[in-house]
Amino acid sequence: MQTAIAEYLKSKLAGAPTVSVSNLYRIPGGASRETWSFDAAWNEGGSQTSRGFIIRRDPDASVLETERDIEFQVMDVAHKHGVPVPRMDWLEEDGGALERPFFVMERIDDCETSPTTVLMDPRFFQAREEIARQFVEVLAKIHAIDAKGSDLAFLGPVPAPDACAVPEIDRWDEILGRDATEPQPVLRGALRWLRRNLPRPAQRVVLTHADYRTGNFLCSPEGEIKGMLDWEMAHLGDPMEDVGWACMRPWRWLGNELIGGLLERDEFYRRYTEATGIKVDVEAVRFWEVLGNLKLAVIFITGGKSFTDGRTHSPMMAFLARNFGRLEMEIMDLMGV
Amino acid sequence: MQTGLAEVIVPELQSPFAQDTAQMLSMLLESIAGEWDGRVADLRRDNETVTAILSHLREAVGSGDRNVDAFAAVVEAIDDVLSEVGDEPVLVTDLAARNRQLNGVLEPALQRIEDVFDEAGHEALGPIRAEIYRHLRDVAGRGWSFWDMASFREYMVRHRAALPG
Repeated sequence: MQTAIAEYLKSKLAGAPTVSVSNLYRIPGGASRETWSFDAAWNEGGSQTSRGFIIRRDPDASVLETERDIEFQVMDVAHKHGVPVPRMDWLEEDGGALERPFFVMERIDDCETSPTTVLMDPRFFQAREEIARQFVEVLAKIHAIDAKGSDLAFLGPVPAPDACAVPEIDRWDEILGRDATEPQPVLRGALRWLRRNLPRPAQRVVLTHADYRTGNFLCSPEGEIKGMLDWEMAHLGDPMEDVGWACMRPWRWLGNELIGGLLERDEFYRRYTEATGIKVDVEAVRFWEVLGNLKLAVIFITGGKSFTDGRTHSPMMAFLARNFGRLEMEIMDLMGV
Repeated sequence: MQTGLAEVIVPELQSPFAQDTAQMLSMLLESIAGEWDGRVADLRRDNETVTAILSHLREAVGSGDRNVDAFAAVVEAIDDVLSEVGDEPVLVTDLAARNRQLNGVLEPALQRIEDVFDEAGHEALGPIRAEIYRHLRDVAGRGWSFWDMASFREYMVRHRAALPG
């Protein structure tokens, strides 16, 4: 793979007669795509250049089938609008050099994504308040991008404010129907509940990240969020969807009620409203939390099916598919049943 | 098996990805081991509970024209599944198969209940709905989950403290 990457970069870096690739390794985690880190060095205009890169490559089988070109383009747009995101370099839809479709982006160094580190490592303690502040600020920047702008035309027509919820219910209902290998009464009951308890129309239709949470951003020990990651589920929709997802219990990593392990829910709402001008609709957030927990359970089920079908041998897929009982409990709590 | 992984295999692994995969395997083993002893008893109890729930639902929708019409397909499925009476299974495989069969009827039944339970004429469904979710909570709260160590830590402490006995 190292040689293939070097050859690929040579084709992309005009005027670089040779490119050397080193320190290639696969980054653990990530259920939807493989993530690889490497260093590259080449001669550019007479001087030696070296840079770190990340490759995101389609796996043999995924927890979730998502469009990598969507992820690439959304990150590119976000970058252009000042959202902290790695610079996107190249997208290869036919795989070619690396057998499966992939894209290449800059690697942001001296940062951490692991919630265990960001929330519990003493190096980050002093920066906790700054991380919390930026957590809200970055979300506000994403929601400030004009959903109707031509930049985001590739995401399809802008939904009406009262048409953001049902397509998401339909989407996850369909995936559950396709990939469940056993009856799922909690999830099926929840889907019905969601259809009967639709939220009020969105106050504004925005670009939603759709996986906005602690664990998906690169953070420096000084508390600067330098890169928001994992945009593969991004779409146009209700901003309360992102607020709801960020509030979910699975991301309250400290085991208490702090949202994302960072701040109290009321404080998160207050800061979000202050930053965006969008009032947090508490009942809408409850809806999106139910749907968010259901979505996460369905993602795990999809991975489990990949495992039982033999399309992947990753134990993570098997493990996650056996571990969503807690999500079901949370769903039932939120539904009030 | 976990000791073999931790003490023999993991030290030989060079890459962070391989080490992470080995840790995931160890957690998968933990998850399976956590269910080992109680699996037969849990499945037996679950099958009995779901059978009782479906019987109660059958009884509740037996009266009142609205219920009969709305639940015709569910009633037929309940009658079919409850008519399959044989020797009680002893193998996990057979108990699990029966469990899937019963839940395969419970699932559409719950969907139907969710559609109509708060409408006039379906008041009898409220207690059945509550019974179903009590059972589903019991099932969902079992065993060990990696989240019990982190995100769900205080939640599970509260949940377990509230359990009878």
